[in-house]
Amino acid sequence: MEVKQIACIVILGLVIIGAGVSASIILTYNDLVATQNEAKNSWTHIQIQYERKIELIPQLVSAVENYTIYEAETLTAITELRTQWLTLNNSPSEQANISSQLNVEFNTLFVAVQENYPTLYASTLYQDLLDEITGTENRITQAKLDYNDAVTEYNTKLGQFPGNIVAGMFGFQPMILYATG
Amino acid sequence: MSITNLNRGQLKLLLALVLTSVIIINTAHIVSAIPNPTGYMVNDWAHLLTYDEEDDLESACRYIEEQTTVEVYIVTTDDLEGEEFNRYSYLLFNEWGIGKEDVNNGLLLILYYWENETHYSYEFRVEIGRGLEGAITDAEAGRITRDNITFWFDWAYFYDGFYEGLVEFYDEFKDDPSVVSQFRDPIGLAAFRAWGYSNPLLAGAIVAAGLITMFYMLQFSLYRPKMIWIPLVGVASLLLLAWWWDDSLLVLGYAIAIAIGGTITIKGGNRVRPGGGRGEGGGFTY
Repeated sequence: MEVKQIACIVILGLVIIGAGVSASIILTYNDLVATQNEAKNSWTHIQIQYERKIELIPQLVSAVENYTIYEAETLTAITELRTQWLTLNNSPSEQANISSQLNVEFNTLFVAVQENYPTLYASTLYQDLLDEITGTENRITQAKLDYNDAVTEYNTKLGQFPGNIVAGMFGFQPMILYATG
Repeated sequence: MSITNLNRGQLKLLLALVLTSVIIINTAHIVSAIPNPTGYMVNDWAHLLTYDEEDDLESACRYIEEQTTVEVYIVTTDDLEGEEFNRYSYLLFNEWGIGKEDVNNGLLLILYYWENETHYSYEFRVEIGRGLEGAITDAEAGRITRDNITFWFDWAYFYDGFYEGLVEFYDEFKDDPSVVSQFRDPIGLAAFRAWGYSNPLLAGAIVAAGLITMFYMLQFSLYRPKMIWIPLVGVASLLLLAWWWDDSLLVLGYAIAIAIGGTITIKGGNRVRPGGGRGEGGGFTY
């Protein structure tokens, strides 16, 4: 085989490898950006569902307060928690904290209504609100699970080859999972 | 050593390697526990309905889709594949992509059923697509579930519960124009593209046939150098076609694999025959 032929084959090989490498870098980069954006979007889903839950509170309070003179304490606590929420700066741990405190108060109120105020419990308005709050709570759970799924997918792509190299080149950082409990 | 000097066994090995790597790359998806869509809108996996009842509900669901484009699915199951019921129904709803894409107008009535020697028990959920949430609020869904669905399920009248639920939900959204999808089945060129996207192997074979033809024309153009633009333009347009079919280059990958594999199998097989042509007593030696 002549030198020219060998040189030709070597150059062709280099060109093919170079094209392959740059194509895979472009594809991996685009993939990482898409996955990261999806994870960020699913974070906003959690926020939106939380907001929905907070917005239901005034309705609940106004529906309940006329019936339940003895549950004034719980209602005050719920209203205060809502005020606290509105002054938050989107800090996830505090949000989760207030949300779980709200759930405790909700539970107290719901049990009290079911046991002591049959007229209220049977009323359509109250049942509707109960459905809305339960539905929102379920949506928050699903949104958190979705967020964790999206973040895991992104982090896995970040850790795997060739994502780890591309991430190093363009400075992608791993995202944090939503902690349970 | 060039590719045509390999013997048949080596060629087959090479081809096998290329094809396996293509297959492995394309099947590396995340495995999920949710069953695949069956093509039916009523899926009675817990065997709670008779065939007639299933048929009836199926045609009711089809009717609703024809009238309003809303997709209503009914699923009964006795196996949650290790997921919690809420999560299972949520995942099934999303992975099946129930509802039209543009307005998210899907509705899933899902029943988890289990029994022992003496008693049966169930959980029931309604999953509502985002586009339907305006027409069916959580409160309305809850009321319909209590008054028209689980009311029957408690007495094991599963068909009646589903049927009445369908009727009530249909009443909620039938006059709401916001749930109607503008999405139609693609026609013409778009349909061809969708076909190629969902059948990358066949689309790849078509592109591969074109590439092989262009390869032959490239050889012919050695004798007619002025005609070389024909195969070059042909190859370029075939590559663009493959790209148009599938952005992730799946079609292109299949096409190149098939073209190389086919060329090796057909032409390479001829080249490795030692001794002259047919009449010269060469024959096959392996």
